[in-house]
Amino acid sequence: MRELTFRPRRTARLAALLALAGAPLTGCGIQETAVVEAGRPVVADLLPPREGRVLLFFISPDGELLPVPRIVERPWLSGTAGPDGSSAGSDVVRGEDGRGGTPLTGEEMSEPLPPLAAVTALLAGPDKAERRAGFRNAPSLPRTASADRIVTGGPTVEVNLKLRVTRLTARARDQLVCTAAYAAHAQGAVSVSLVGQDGRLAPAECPVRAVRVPAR
Amino acid sequence: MPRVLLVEDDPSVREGVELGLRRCGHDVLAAATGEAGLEALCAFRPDLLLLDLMLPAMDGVQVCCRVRENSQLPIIMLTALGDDVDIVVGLDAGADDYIVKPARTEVIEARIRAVLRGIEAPNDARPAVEHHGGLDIDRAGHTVSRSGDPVALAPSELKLLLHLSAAPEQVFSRQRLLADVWDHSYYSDVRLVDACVRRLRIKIEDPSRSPRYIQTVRGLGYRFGPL
Amino acid sequence: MPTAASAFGLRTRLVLAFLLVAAVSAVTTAALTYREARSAVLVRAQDTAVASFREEAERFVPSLPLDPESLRWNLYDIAARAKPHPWIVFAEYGSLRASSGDRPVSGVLTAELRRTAHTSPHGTFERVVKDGKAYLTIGMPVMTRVVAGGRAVPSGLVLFAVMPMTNEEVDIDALVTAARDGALPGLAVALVPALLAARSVLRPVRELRRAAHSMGGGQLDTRIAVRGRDEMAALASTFNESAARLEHSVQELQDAGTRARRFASDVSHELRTPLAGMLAVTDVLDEDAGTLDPDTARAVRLISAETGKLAMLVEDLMEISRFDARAVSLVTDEVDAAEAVRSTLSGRQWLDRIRTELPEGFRIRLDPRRFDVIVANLVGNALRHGAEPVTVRLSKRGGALIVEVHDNGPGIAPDALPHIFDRFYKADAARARSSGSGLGLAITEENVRLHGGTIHARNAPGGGALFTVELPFEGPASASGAPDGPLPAQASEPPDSRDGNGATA
Repeated sequence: MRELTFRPRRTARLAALLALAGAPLTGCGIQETAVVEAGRPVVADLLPPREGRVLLFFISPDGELLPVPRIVERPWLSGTAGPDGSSAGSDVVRGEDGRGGTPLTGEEMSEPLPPLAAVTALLAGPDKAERRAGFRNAPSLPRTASADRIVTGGPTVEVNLKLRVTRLTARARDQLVCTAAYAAHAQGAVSVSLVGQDGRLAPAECPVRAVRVPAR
Repeated sequence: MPRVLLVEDDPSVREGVELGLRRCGHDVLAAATGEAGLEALCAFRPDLLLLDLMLPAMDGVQVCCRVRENSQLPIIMLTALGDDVDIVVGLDAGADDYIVKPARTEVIEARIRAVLRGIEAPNDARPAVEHHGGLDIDRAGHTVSRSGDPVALAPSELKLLLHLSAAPEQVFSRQRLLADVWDHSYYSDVRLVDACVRRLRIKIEDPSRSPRYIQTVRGLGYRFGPL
Repeated sequence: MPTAASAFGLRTRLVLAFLLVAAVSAVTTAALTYREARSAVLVRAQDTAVASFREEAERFVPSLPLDPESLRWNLYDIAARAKPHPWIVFAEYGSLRASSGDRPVSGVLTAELRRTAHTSPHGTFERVVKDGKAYLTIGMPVMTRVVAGGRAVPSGLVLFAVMPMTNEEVDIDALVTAARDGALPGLAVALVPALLAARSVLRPVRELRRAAHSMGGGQLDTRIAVRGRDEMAALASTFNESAARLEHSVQELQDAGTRARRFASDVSHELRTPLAGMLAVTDVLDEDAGTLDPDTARAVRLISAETGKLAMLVEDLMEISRFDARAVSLVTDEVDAAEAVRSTLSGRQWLDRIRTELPEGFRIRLDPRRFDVIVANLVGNALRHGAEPVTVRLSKRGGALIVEVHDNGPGIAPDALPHIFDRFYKADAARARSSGSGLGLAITEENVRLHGGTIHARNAPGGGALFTVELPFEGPASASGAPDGPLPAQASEPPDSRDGNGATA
């Protein structure tokens, strides 16, 4: 005769089933998560109007290339800016303090600062406030260097520099290219060719691209 | 020698028993049916009737009853052991004894002798007539009268009554009575005694009262009286 | 090996199984519900926090170049509009650090979140558990449009919010409590249908057991009502079919047995009539044999002797047939045992051959004719197969009379002992054709059983076979269960009177 017994194995199986069902409960409370993406970033108008500032591209403490706005004062500049950019060489870019420039009003603000002034300001290095925030130039960019002239108007902006451009690191070149590009074009959408004492570099575009803002 | 009327339907049994008894010196008449036996009764005038219980048409019990209507002829039934009910019915109908078939002639002969003996050898050492209450027993004449009226008793009934009344108030076991009255062995069928007592009571006792002459002693047997 | 579970009854196991299923489903449901609810609570809190943080940051973001002093005020503004719970806002710009709280940097923010916020163009969040408390940390890089309404570039400014999730923890703990408090009463409620279901399953089982018990007790016509079409119904109909087949088989066996017994009885009956005729003339043959030719005389004497034996055999067969057909009756009387034994011995002229120890005074209720058969068969057997002296001894043990018949022969072979009361069993092959019918001991045993007694055969310690019969003094009625079947064991007292009333003065 075969006897039907309640085998221990079956009991174990049932216990396992029960434990499985209760498993979700074992992680009670709030669990940690990994880093999760959550939509678009904050987008705002942080920069002063284009006519009153230049965008200088410095290296952040984290090694990133960042656009740093610097306020400029040029009460004398009104209507003098001609197509010939060489006159801009005497432009004064305020470097000692980044703020407190007298607000410019009216049609005086309609023209941005010429690229030569921006590049010159970049080569001069970050000012005191910018240095306090940790910004700096790439080491290969010599403080003593200066820009001769910048030719705009074509699809390519040509920046003539009194230095050896081939010795510049990629970071240093990007600083120059971006600063020149954003000075020559509102959204930096031009290619820049660096020309130095030792030759000419191929035209390049700024790696910090202005992107279309995601819709809300 | 006794004259025996044999009523038996089976030819071989009839012939065998007839032959055996005749060799013993009995005068035997054999009949094949109950009717033929009753007819032969008047002409043959037998001393004893040897009656097979199982007969075609009129059976042994009926023949027994018919004979007892006007005769106290000794009757021995031939029967097969195991036909217990038939034995009781036959005994109640008035048979004095029974023999189980098959039986040797010497057994049949012994039974016939026993049944006939008491009648042929009366005890005459006693007063002619004894009076027991309303019952007069003539031991010499083998007659019994109750309140003056003669009572017809079959041989076994008469022998039982004589045996019991010879020693009034003495208890006889049924085995004892079987041996004394019927010449049966100790272990024979006590129903023989019981049936005989039943028949005797019907004839001599007052039917409205409990038995007076033949009394039962529970667990021991029967006794005569006390009156 | 009995397991712990098999120690429980079927009902307990059924109820436990039901409860187990109920528990599994309750726990599973509670667990899944809890997960969903917890997830919903957290997602809502997170989505609200991320969206409102982005919104407030866009409203109150400081302009560049950064002024560290005014930056703090901006952060205060954002922190003041925390939703759904208060948060602390941190800002990183270059190496500048600022916050709306006591310390400019947070210990909750992970390096992973900070790195992602600095490099990814998306908002990000991370749940952090620190010191047992859960926090939601959100990282928001700030992009600035280059010109109003135009395209945007990363500004280098990153804002963080750290929000403790105290309320969510409370809510989720409440969920666990609710699930637990709901599951336990649910199990208790499940006990009721479990018991009901167990009962409905067990009722047919109980019926089946009762029916099987009834079958075992001989009620072969027992059947079970088949209800429904489930497994129990199938079992019931199988039981019914088996019972019907069993009943049929038993009936056939009984019929066959009855036919066999009736045949034996009929044969005996038919043999008896010719035997009656033959037996009546054997005396004639014996007497006249002396006058015949010697060969004829031997033949005639043989026929005479064998006819006698044949008659005995037929009588014994008839007796056995009556026992088989249960057509035997006891005609009991109260007798003296010693007297009865003496009558048997003297009736067969054995008194001077047999030693007896017959104490007087053993009154016993029995059938004298059958007792005679018992004693005569045992003594006859001892005389035939044993050796003299044969002793018959009466004694008393408890409520029973002991009759012992002992001979001084070689005894009974051990392998023959169990069969000594079988019909036609011949213990001694050499004497296979003995003078007995071969039924004597079988009839003896039947007669003893009819009296409610017992009979045993064994070899006495001093040698010789010893047969012991025990008969209850009070007759067969006092012995419990001795005669099986409906035996008409009628005690025939001497009839008191026609009126049936005893007149023992």
